[in-house]
Amino acid sequence: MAEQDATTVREARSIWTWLFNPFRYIAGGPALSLGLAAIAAAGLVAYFGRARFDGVLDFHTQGEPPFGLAVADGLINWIVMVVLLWAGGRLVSSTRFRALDLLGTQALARWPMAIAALAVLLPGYQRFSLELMGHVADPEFLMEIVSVQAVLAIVVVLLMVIWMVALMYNGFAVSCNLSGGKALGIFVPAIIVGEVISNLLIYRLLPGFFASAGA
Amino acid sequence: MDERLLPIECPSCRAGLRVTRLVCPECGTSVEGEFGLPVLCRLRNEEQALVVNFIKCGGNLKDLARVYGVSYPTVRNRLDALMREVQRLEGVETKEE
Repeated sequence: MAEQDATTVREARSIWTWLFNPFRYIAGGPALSLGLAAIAAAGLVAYFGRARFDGVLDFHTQGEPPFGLAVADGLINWIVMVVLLWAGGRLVSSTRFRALDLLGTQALARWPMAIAALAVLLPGYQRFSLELMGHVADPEFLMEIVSVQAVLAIVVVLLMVIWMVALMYNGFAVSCNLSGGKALGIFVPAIIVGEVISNLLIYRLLPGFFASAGA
Repeated sequence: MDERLLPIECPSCRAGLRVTRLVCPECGTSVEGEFGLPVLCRLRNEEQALVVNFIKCGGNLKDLARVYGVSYPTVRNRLDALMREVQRLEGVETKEE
């Protein structure tokens, strides 16, 4: 064994891995710093686009949300998923994983939401969303006001949500050393429960908090 | 220096190989018998590299992750897989004995 070159090990990095599983290369503290910056940036841009991340997988345009709410949404979505995935990971993983890795990977996984927030800044989408308010259930009206920019923004947002979910799953799988059925068996229920809890927190708890803070 | 890799499994049936002859490179004396390979020698080359680098890093996973250019959980997952492989090989060894 000693005669074989055992230590030439630095592996080649692929663009696909960087895009869909960057956690192979980055996790823990650095991922947490970048992720929190991305969450804050996404919240800030969403605020200017009159949009909110009002749930783990949600991104909706709605009136004029207070600045604090727009940023707090992202933090709530992030921490809810971390808590659920941490609990699930502890339940089924045989590895002693670090909470810091889950905090970091789940924060960084939300970075595509910054792109989604940028997409809704498109003037065509802004006009579309303003005119749409109050006429959501009217398909004829919808066809009258839809524009290329509006469709583009909606497609970009959908793709970014899918990308985020893929990143969240890979971040969870790497952090907790899980794969296949075990990982999906925790991740899918965590997303569903997380969606419910984040909605409850965002629509029941946050408005009260901001009201009392402003009073 | 001999650059050839030590074969650890039969190229035909994939069973683990055993050593039957050892030679002294100085005087040519040879010893014949049937000797099992130690667990570390039966690991794949990249697994042996992980063990060597782990020792070189003094058992520090953060340093090991830096050597490989990967994240902490990635290198920890590889070590976990290595632990399972060593346990599997030791299990096979026990059965063979």
